[in-house]
Amino acid sequence: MEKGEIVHAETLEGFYPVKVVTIKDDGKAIFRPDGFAYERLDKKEDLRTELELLAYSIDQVLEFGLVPPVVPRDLKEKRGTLQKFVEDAEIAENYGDNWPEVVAESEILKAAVFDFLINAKDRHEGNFLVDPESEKIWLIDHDDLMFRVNGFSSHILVEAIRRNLAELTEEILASLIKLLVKIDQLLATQLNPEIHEVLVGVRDRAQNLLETKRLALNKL
Amino acid sequence: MILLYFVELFELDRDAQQKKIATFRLTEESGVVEIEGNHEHAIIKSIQWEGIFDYKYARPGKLYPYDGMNFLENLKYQFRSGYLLATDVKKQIIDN
Repeated sequence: MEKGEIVHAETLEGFYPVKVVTIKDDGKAIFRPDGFAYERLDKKEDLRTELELLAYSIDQVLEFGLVPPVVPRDLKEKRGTLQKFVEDAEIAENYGDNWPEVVAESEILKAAVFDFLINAKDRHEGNFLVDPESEKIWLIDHDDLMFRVNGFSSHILVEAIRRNLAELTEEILASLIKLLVKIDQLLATQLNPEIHEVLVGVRDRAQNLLETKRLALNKL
Repeated sequence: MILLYFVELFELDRDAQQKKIATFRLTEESGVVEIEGNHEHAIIKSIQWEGIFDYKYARPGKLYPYDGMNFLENLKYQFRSGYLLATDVKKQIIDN
């Protein structure tokens, strides 16, 4: 996706200038540019691309496989991100309240841990995909939601707690240890103060989970 | 003449083709947003009954069609991923 030839790009209907692009021999991806006017009143610095990439990196280190691959990419001189289009999944909202019935509980727990770590404040059913066949969850739209906005508790995290899926597995605990090591490395090189703040937040939450070994809404 | 405000909501199918699933319409006279589309569609039902969040003013609580313009102008923030994408609020003048 980073360098493949883009053979087709189509701008979608909508307020945000999102494009669906076709990459030669690499399927389809969704391009979302930086620097687009955001009318929200508590607007902070536009870190859309950085946050999308950071979310993907965190997922990679954890080896949860929840975030579709995303890379930085310029398209017609616009900087932005390309994220792999997930063909086999649908927006969870299509399943209404039944979305937890079509995915594995292990996916709900991993996604809840991920959302707890990044302090997801915008995870409604329009911001994740479900694939009933593989029982997988795919998390999308990490452009603005880590420690930076007054949003709402992740619906996945709320569902995990409701189902009493709070206890962390040994595998997840091992992933959290790997994440802490990686964050220490990133903090040493991260110059952007806002990204630095996000990383500190993720680190604190990972440490908290390692101490308590369980998720809880009252930690939010 | 009636001034109509409206927002269109699009969904990407599994072939990455965009299709419109709803139009949200508000007239100055009514103050309540009407939803044009399949009301049995899970997304439309969710928007109608579960509401959407107030991204613009970050106020607690949710917004519903009866919140009129506040509801209408937050749709584009709630649905911005590409998989679901809402337009900005558009205006149209309709002759009586």
